[in-house]
Amino acid sequence: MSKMARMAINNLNKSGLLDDATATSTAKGFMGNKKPKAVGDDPTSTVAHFVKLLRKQRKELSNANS
Amino acid sequence: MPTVSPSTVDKFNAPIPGESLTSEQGSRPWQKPPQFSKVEDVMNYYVDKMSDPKLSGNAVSIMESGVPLTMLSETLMTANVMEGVHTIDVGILVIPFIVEMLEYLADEAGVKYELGLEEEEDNSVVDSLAAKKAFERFEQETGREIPEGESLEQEDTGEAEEAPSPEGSKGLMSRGVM
Repeated sequence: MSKMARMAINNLNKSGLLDDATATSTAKGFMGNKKPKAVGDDPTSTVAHFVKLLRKQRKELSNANS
Repeated sequence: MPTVSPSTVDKFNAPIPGESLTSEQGSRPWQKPPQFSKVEDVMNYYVDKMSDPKLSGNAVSIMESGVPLTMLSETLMTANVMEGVHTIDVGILVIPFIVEMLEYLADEAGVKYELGLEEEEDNSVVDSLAAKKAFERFEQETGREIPEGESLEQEDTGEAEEAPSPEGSKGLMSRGVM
């Protein structure tokens, strides 16, 4: 039942959109012209942006609790 | 995980093949254009839904009972697809966001949850045990021993090749003896 969800999450994790470090490395492109992906460029990066935002909030919440 | 026993399923109450084609085209919510088509709108919809104390309370109690978040998010998403809120492809894109929101809810409520990201149980051990039992039963019934590393299938094909037909072949393509 949860196969679809598992695959969606694993794909997003594998895409590297959730890592902060890869944000600069993906900006190389051809002759260095490719701009880094921003929110609204494509649906996956939009979702990744909001997932990162939620993770940050969750971290803050756990820090506040401890 | 709860499972349904085949004996409890009412076979005569199942849908008839082709029953879905008897209703008028476009009469179902998922056959109409979705309410939201953009990922941002769908995420906003889920944020609004999760802000509802009734729904979030239910979600927390479900998570507390040990249902994995992936399963819960998929059920939620599929239900909304069925109601015509969004399409299934947008739903799949949004699943990580729903899971993250559920995690946030669980953390806020102080509930321990299961993410459900690990693969399902490996059944190879069970399968090998079943095969071993089948070999033992075969040995008991026939009184023959199967040497190690040789399967039943190999033995069967070997026998089939060696066994000569007493009356010759009677197949359609067989050449008769002149």
